[in-house]
Amino acid sequence: MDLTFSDAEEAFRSEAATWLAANVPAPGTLASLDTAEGFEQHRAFEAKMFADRWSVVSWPEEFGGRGVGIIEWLIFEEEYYRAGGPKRVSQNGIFLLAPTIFDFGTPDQQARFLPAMASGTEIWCQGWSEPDAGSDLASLRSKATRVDGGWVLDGQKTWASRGAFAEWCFGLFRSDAASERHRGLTYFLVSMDSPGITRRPIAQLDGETGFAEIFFDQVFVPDDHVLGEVGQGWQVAMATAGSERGLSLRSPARYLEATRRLADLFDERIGDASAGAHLGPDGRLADRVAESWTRARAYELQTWATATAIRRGQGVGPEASTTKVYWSELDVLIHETALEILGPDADLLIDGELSAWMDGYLFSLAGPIYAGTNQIQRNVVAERLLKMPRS
Amino acid sequence: MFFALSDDQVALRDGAAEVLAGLCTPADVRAVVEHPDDPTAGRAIERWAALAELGATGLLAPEADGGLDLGMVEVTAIVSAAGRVALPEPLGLHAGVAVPGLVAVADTSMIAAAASGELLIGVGGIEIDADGPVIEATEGSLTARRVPHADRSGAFLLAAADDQGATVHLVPASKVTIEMTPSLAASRRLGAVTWTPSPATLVASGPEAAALIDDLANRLCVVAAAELCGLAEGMLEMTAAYTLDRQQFGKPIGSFQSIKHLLADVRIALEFARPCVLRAAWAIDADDSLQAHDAAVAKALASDVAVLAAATCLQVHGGIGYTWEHDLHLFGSRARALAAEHGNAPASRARALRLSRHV
Repeated sequence: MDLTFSDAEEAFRSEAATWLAANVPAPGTLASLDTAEGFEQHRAFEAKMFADRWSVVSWPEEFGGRGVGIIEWLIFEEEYYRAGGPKRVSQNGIFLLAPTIFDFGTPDQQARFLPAMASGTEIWCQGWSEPDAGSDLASLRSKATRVDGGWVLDGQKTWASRGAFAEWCFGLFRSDAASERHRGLTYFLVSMDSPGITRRPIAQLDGETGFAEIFFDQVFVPDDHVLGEVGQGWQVAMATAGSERGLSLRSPARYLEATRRLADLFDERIGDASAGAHLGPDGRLADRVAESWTRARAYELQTWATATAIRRGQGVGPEASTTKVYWSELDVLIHETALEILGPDADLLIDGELSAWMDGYLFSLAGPIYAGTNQIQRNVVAERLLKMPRS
Repeated sequence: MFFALSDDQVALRDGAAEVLAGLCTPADVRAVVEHPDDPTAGRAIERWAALAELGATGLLAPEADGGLDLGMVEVTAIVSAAGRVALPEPLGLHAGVAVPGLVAVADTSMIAAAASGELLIGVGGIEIDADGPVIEATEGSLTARRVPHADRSGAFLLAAADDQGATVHLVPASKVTIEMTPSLAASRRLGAVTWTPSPATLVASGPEAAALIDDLANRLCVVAAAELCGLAEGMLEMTAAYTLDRQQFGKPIGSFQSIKHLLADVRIALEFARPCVLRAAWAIDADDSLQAHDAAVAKALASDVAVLAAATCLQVHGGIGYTWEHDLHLFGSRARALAAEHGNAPASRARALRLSRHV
């Protein structure tokens, strides 16, 4: 056991903190990334990070990273949230697709896609769910048909986050019409400018178009945009899902910072959450603030344990499902508690905008749904970690 | 940064688990519960000797006193394994709290005997609430309540307070009165220890005593948290296995999603409680600034997971789990009792939050 940081790691932290302090936009200066204007503002910030090699620190230098390890990546994330960094508009690419491209992509694919992804020049959306294939993803029906030099895609994808504005889409299609379930699927990288693609933005709970439906009508994709082997799409997709559920999408610093703000909110509106308030009439709320804190700390510590396992060459495996349930339900707890502290005023718009807490609450409600619903994750935990029989 | 047990620590834990698998079956625990006055019941003497032989009782004692000179990380690894089989004896309290307490007060008369396991040392008089350790003030005699295996302890490390502040005393069993106080979690074998502070038993006073009490309080939380995680793990394993055997509607009940999701919640909570215990143990070994905070976090998470496991595993077992005959209550009662000791989950959470803001 050694939970201290090396001098090099501390130096890295300090360099990151300095850069972020000088460059992170002040709170409220960027429009929502689910608007056309906000999308471009967030993209510009990604470009700025990339220019100084802060957008993807753990990637090899040739693709725009700094070639540092997972410990430094987590340190960067801590500093990013501490500095109040904006949502990462390129997250579907850099956090979900990129690890899969590193594992399954050809050298040409890595050179073609990774730098443009890291700089925000090309933003990615995810084309997995279909109207009739949500939790039961393996029942997907959008198809890929073999043609000269590539494939033709037909079908419909939905709930594609960033789908209203993204330049590229990574998607799963049935490439063997005779196959069923997990077999005969292929993972494609598709330009959203391809002829035959129609996107229909979907307004979310807050009225903004964070996700979209995507219709594919005879969309041609060349062979070199197949990721992994033809017919092995499910295996490739599960690698992406591991990243989505595990530690790479939602770093613990995000929840520690949110909980610090929550404790401040309680102090400001009700009284010192930690000084005896747990005994008074607001005790239940004070306890929820305290529980948010201890859970956020637990998530942080479990992440360091996971990082250690990864550094020792041990895979993450189905434990990623425990992580996904934990951070998504923690996020809901934090925001529900904040709304309860704020009372009915929480619903009021401020200068035409939702309050940060309400905005965060609506976003937190998506957490138990995306990346595989928490019910599906609980099945995975029961079947793979507890060895209970498949239904 | 290396946040995991080393290979040696894993081997130590697995060695203890193997010994306990042989000498701490549910039948043994039940015998201790059903024959509280028989010191040989449930192979208690053999079991304690085997743990001592492994070095478990002297993990934190110096090598010169026959100890292994290891740390709380090793203590919690072994205590978790003990929790998994609902070990009746207070191994964590003895090895993880009392022995380092003796070392801290430089008591040379008892360390070797305590390290070898021949002399069981009890700990009492330190209650923990949301504000931290609370010590009873007295001018005469006082009673340390709920001291595990009080009647089999040869000496006690006890805290008291007078108008000068808190003090710590090391009191031989001959100078106390013990009244056993039966409880539902009967394997804990609790007693009330009545004693009178005197200059002859005083081992720490002033700032030294205050620091020692803070340290002992952190250790109490951490060994309890380790045991609670072990208890939760034991109940979860037992119950997951049961869901494969038990058939209803023509299928194992473990194939039903409603059952899966109940047990998945316990597994998820355990996944996040365990690193908290490990961090808190390391913080004590490293004299890290977050040791009180992390002890409170560990106690909060571990208390919650153990109580959740006890309730959930009972529900999944159904009627059979509600019987005295079934072994589940040997774990569940102990889990609920320990969850309530040394600061329950809400008090521990409040303490953690307070410490996080004033560090």
